[in-house]
This record gives sequence, C-alpha cells and structure tokens, in this order.
Amino acid sequence: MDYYGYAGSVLDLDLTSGESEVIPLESDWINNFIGGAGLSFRLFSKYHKPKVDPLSEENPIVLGVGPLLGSGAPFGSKLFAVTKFALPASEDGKHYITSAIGGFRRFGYMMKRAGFDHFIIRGKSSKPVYLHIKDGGVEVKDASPLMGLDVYETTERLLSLHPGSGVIANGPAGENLVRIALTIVDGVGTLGRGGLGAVLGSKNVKAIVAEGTGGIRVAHKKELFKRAKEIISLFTSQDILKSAQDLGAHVFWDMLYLKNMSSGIWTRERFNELYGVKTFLKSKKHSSTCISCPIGCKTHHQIPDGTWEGIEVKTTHFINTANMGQKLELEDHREALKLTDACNRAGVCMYTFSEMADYLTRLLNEGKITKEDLHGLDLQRNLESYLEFLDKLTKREGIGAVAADGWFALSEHLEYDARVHYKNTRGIVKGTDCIFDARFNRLDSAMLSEVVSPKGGFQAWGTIGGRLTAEDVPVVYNTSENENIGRLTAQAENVMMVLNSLGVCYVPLNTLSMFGYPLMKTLAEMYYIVTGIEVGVDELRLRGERAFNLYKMLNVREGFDRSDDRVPSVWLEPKEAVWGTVVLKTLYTKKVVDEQLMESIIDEYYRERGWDIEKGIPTPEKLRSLQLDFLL
Amino acid sequence: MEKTNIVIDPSKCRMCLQCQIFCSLLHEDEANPSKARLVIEENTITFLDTCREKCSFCADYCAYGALTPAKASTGG
Repeated sequence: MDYYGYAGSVLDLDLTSGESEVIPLESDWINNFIGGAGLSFRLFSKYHKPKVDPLSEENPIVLGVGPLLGSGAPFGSKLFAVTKFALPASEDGKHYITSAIGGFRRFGYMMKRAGFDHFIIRGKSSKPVYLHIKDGGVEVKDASPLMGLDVYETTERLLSLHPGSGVIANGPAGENLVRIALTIVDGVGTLGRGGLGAVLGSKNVKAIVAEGTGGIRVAHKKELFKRAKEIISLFTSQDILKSAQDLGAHVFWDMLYLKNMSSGIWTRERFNELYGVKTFLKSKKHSSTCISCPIGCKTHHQIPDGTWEGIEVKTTHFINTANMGQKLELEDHREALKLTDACNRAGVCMYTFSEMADYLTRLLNEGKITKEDLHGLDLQRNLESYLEFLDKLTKREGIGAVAADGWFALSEHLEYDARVHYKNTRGIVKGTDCIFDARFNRLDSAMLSEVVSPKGGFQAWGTIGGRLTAEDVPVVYNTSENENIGRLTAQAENVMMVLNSLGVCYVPLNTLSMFGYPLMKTLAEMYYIVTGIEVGVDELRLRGERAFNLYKMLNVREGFDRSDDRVPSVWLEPKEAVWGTVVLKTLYTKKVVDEQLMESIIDEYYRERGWDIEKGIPTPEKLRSLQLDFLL
Repeated sequence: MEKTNIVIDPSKCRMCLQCQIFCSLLHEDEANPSKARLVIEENTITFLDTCREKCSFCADYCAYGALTPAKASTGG
C-alpha cells in the first residue's frame, strides 16, 4: 500500500542469521498506534520476551520515525529507539523498557528515504559489525577497524565511507557494555540514556548508517506550504524566538534554569557569572538544527583559550554543560566543556556521570569512604580526577567497573544507599538519576512523570502539561483554582505519546503554543495535511493513550508495579540551598508536599488512567476498552 | 545558476534542509532533497540550472536568513 507521509515499510534484521526482511506497514498499526514511538512499542511487543537479560540476543531494538519527519512539516525531526535498557531499575534486577528520544539532521530522515519507518534489530552478531541501511534493505558490514574508536572518530570514519549519510555511533563505553552508555546521532544528538549503547554493544553493533535516495509524498502540499509559512514567519518575527535561534536553550537561562538548577554551592549570581549568557557567547561557535526546525537549539562550542584551546565541543544544550560544571564545582567553563567532550566521545551519559562523580567525591571528602573503596582512585574536585574516573568507567577498570553497572551496584559496593543517603542528588527513581529536582522546579506534571514514568528520572513525558488547554484535553487541571498534578500528568503523557508517535519535537511545539496555536488541533491538522488521514483531536489522543498503556504493560510484564513508582526520598526532605531552605511544593497552589499528599497525587494519576490504584497497573477492562486485548 | 531574486548568505545556513524539501515538493511532487533545484553543503548554497529564473519559493521558508527573497515569489 502506498502511503502519504509514511515510508511504508518496516525493516526486520536478525543479526544471528544475518537475514533481513522487509515488511509492509499495516494500516491497522497506523490506525491504532500512529507511528514513531507508539508503533515502535507495538513492534517491540511482537518479540518481547519478559525478564530476559537486556544484554542477551533475545532483547530486540526497534528504531522508529514518525509520519511527519522529512515531509517539511516544521519540528518533525525525532528518532525513537525502543528496547529493554541495560541500566538496572530495581534491587531485584528489573530493567525498564522505554523509548529513547533523540535525533538530529540525517539518520532518521535517511532511514525513511531508504524506505523504512522502523528498523527492528534482533539477535547478535558473532563479530563486530556496522549496519548499513540503503534503499530497500540493509547490509551487515565488518566493523573491526572501527572498534575502540570514540564516537566522533567512528562518525567521521563512516561519513568518509558513506558521504552524506546518517550515523548512529556507539562509543567505547557501549562496546564495553557500560550500562550508562548512550549513542550519538549524526555526531550531535544523544540517544539512549540508560544504556542503549550497551545493548548495541552486546549485539556487537558499533554503528548504524542510513543512506536513502527516495522521497516522501505529501497528501495536501498546498496546505502544508501555507501552514509552514505561518509557523516559520512566527519564528522570524518574534524577538524571543529569534533569540532562541542564536542562544539555543540558553535563551531560557535566566527565567528557567538559573532559578531551578541553582542547587550547588554557588549563589545564583556566581553561577550566572560562571555559566551565564556572557560565558556561553565566549565559546559558542555556531548553532545547528535538526531537520525542518526553525529554532536550532543545539550549539557547537570551541574552547577559546587555555590548556584545551581549540577543542570543538558539540552540545545538545550548553545548559547541560553548565549543569555539570555546577554539580562538579568546575569554576572554569572551559573545563566543563572539555569534560562534556570527553563524555560524548566515550558515549557516556553526562547527567549520570556527573551525579556519580559528585557522589563519590563527596563521600571521599567527607570521610565516609576511603581511597581503597574506590580501588585506589583519589577522586578530588578537579578536572583531572573526573577525567580519570570517566576513563575507568569507560574501560570498566577499578571503581569504574562497579559504577558501570549503575547506582545499585555502586551503593552495594560502598554499603551506602545513594537513593537515601546521597543528599546532593536530584533524586534517583528506578535506578535512574533525575534530570530535575522537583524541590527547585516545584511539583508539576513534568516532575511527577519522573516518578511514575516507566523509565523514571526522565521528565520529558510530562513536560507538555503546563501548556495544555481546554482545546487539548477534556479537563484542565493546571490552574491555581483547579490543580490536580496526578490527573494532569496522565493527560500530558498521552499528549506526549501523540507527539512522539508523530515524531514531533516538543521543544519548538511547546514554544508555538505560547503564541496561541492549540497544540492537539495543530497536530491533528498537520497529520491530516501530510498523510491525508483525518483524525479528530479526541481520537488522536485516544491513540496516544492506547500506545502509552501498551508501553506500561511491557513494563508490567517485567514485574513493575506501584512499589516502583516511589518518589525519591530526598525530595521529601528540606534542601539547604545557598540562599535558604527549599521544600517540595506544588506548582500552582504552593502546597507543601509530604508523603501523604504525594501518595494521594500518585493515586490521582492512576485514577485518571483508569488503572488499579493499589497495584498501579492497567486493569483488564481498561486494556479491553483500548482494544489492547492481545496483552491479556 | 546565478539567482538575482534571492539574497544568499551561506554563513547563516543551519542545514535544516527546509528549502530543499519544499523545492522538491513544489516542483517534483515529493519531498526529496536529491531532486531539489538547489544544493546545500557546508558554507555553500548552489542553484542548479534547472531552477526557474523567477522562482524564489525556497527562500520563503528559510528561517535563518540564508535565503531571503529579493521580492515576492511567483512560485516559478
């Protein structure tokens, strides 16, 4: 069947046999799960064997893109990767299944132009390989000469062999099965926090290259031209959006990050002096953008002078570098940039790395552990120490071999539970350290989704909550008169699943909603314009809910239930910040959150979802009502 | 070919490919940069001879000022 918007096929590769198959995209899949993340979960479920080792050949990886990618619809740039992740999520050895979100300019687009909306990777290669997706199929190629190369070296080598292609590169950490290893797409976009790199490494896959020459058909191109012009004009006429083109995510430095992330030892003034916009501009070389994005929030930097002069550092956002600098007390932004580059090259998640480095340094300085506990590593608050720890982590040497297995392994080794006793953490949920600390941000749908999300520690699923209006959802719960964080979070996750299934980035779309574009209506219109498939807002949201319930059920099959949806205990304790004491409060009504209130908020989340409140999982009735009977 | 109806500044290009995608969609009925009538490379923007002299459609969709219509596009 020929589609508009969709490429129309799924590529299924069995690495063990080396055989691949091209499967036509079924209209039933689209009508139920849209595409992108939603359909990736559906395809994963076909091969899902509960409780297998994530690093075994029985754990598949499904890559997916959405129907808007490459059509010219603004913001349709995202790439998704669904697998069981390598990082342990519970003391009893469970691992979450989730959808990593990333992407950049080439890979997803090239995969689609080669003819594929999804790519299923199963089994295990007996030797190191890279996968070369080309028009109509895939070749498995020898990667021996690439082994040991860092992420950028791998990317450059493959681009010299396949100019203009898209590349997902696995670093040395992924090769060594480090469970906080991620991959990097097209040398810029991170993909797979929680160990996608290790899962690829376990399959002996060093990289994936995509090269395609095909085109994407659009159902109503004149309407697309009209809509795109309106949206792009907005971005070229509004001052804040034009600033975002220059500063990337740093445009929100003052209003958002400086306030919410000031959890270190510096005052806000000092943090601003060290990592604010002036510092950002000192090293910024240029901005780069994903396909069809009118913002381009990613920035490239070059260390202007000093020991590391000239090193080019590609960041997803400089905010992350600032955050790491603050956490590790690196007063010199050039050192934080150097460490960002080292993490990227190794293919290590810089969020988790910086949390672990802070944790160990703090314990050592406070005399709670000794150098011997760290296998002789004298971890101090300086760049050299951090680079040494990163090297050991990447190579799985000494204390690095322990840290490479995640927070539970580190806590057990040190006999010091990081979740409870590490007061400087932003919180750890399901084995994943949170990106944001709700005490600073206040409890809202973004923060609650860090607790209830199957992935834990990752706020993106609930982020859109603050932007939802009566045109998007049946009831609005985000006002000072009507705040219900639990219910809002469930709705926000469903909407986010729609975005992720269409393959649309929430960053610019979130911004667009500030200028009066109703979110869901805009998405439904864009979906119709590109694919010709007419779906109302309610039906689109239902498909998001269906995909989210499937996502949850994959994790329920792994053994997850309400007992895993626990708020980080540190969130319920006061945080002594430089400027005073911070406690967890709700966003709009500013109620102080204690354990009882937190539990009632989580109750409300399950209630809105129509799940079993005590167990925190979907009921058979709910699954039947969503036509998910195959999961029963 | 030389374009007189578009002001070109390759230094501002972010390579979002929107111009190529819409050029090919307009003229070839599919979103396919390989069939676009302009080529985007690092620091270079080249218009092919197949580009229609009066068309500046691509420039209407550049969000970064790399392509700016010198006057309103006729769509070629």
